[in-house]
Order: sequence, then structure tokens, then C-alpha cells
Amino acid sequence: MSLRAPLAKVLNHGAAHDGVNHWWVQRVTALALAPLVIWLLWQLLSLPDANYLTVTAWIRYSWNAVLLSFVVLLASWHGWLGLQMVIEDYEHRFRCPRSRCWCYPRSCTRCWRRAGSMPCCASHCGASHERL
Amino acid sequence: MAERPLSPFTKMFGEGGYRWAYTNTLSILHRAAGVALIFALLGLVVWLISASFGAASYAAFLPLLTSLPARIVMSMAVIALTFHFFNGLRHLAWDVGWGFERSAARRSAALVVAGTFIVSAFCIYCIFAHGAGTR
Repeated sequence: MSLRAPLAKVLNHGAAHDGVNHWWVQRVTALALAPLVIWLLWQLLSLPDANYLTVTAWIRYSWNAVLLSFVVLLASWHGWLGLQMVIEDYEHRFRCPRSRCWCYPRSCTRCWRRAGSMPCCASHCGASHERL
Repeated sequence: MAERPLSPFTKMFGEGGYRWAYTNTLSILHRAAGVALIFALLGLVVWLISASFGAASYAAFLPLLTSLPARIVMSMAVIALTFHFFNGLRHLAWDVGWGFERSAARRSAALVVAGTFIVSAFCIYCIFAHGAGTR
């Protein structure tokens, strides 16, 4: 028998454990990237040419290296979080082999049989269990 | 099994789904542009790495960078970037509670599209005008 209070069991035990942190970091990196992106576009478009000496001189010049590494790091972080969210949103879906529609297997209300490793969806595509 | 009404997640659009509005398109394009920008970031990093390896490796990379297909890819990346930038500002405004009303959301959507057109057109002009004589 556990003597832990119910609240202690629940706290910090959400589905993903760090959803709020994910949300905040995505916003903060977005806010930081907004001026950095303007700076980067302005700098890249005002380079006189793309030759080696021009480009390396630009990277070397005072704050450019710092801001450039901020852009790369923050954009990687922001992109990581965004891509993670996209994958998490679509990974449950699968393509119905009959009607070629995208389905959410867990929301299927009529059909419980699995087609191969995937559950089939009959609720809106009309494919029968047998044919799947 | 009882036929209960479901929120429209079995089918996004059409009968029983959400009604299409052009704000939907902007929402999905925001994601598509974001995923595309990851590849643009990879391109930027490849460019920086090739410069860090010295003049010889950069000289080998430069014709690829200034070729017409590369300029077209860069233009597409700029469109994705400006769109994701403007629409991202819209999302940040929503996060602090501004502009949630339907009319405001539609107005800001139109502003995003207009801003994307104007800024990316200017940037694409610069991309193709850049070093046009040296090509």
C-alpha cells in the first residue's frame, strides 16, 4: 500500500511531462529569431558577391559570427520543436488501403479489426473489414 | 454501437468536417513552410561549412550556389521564410490573446499574404539581380 498523497502522484506526471516547456521554448525561440531573421536576410542580400573573401570577411566581422551562430542554434532548436510537433500530430494517422484517405485509427467507432499491423477504418471510408 | 456526434477529427473537411476557410490554408502552410525551412537551414549550414573548409572547397561549391536551380531554391526558401515569419508573428499575437475574432483573423491573414508577396518579391529580385553580371 502506498502512502503517497494522490496529488503527489499526479503532479508532473502529464502525458509528455514537458509540454509547457516545449510550448514556451518554441515561443521564446520564435521571438528571438524574428529580429535575427530580418538581420540575416538584410545581411545576405547586401553582400556584394558570394566569393570566398567576401563571405569569410563578412562572417569574421565583429558581431556577425555571434549573431550567425545564434541564428543557426536557435533555428535548429525551433525547427526541432516544430518538427517534433508535426510528427506527433500525424503519426497516429495512417492511409486507408482502400479509399486512400487519411484516418485516425483511435477515433474509429465501428471497426476494431486490424489490417496488418494497422487498425482499419470503416467509419467514413466504407471499406469492409473483410476486404481490408 | 451508438452513433454519437464526434468532433471532426475523423475527417477534416467536407460532410461532417470543418468548413473550409482560407485561414485553414494559412495554418497548414505555416507547418509546410516550417518543415521546408529546416531544409533551408541545412542549406545555410552547408554553405557555412564549405566556407569553413577553406578557399579551395568554397571555390568548388560556388558555381553550385550561384546556379539557376540554386537561385530558384533560394527564392522558394525566401518565400517560405517570409511567410513563416509573418504568420509566426500572427501566431505570437494569438498567444497573447490578440486578434482572435474571426474578422480580425481574416484581416491579419490577408496582411500576412500581402506582406509575404511584397517582401519575398523584393528578396527574389535581389537574389536574381545579385551577381547577374558575373554569372
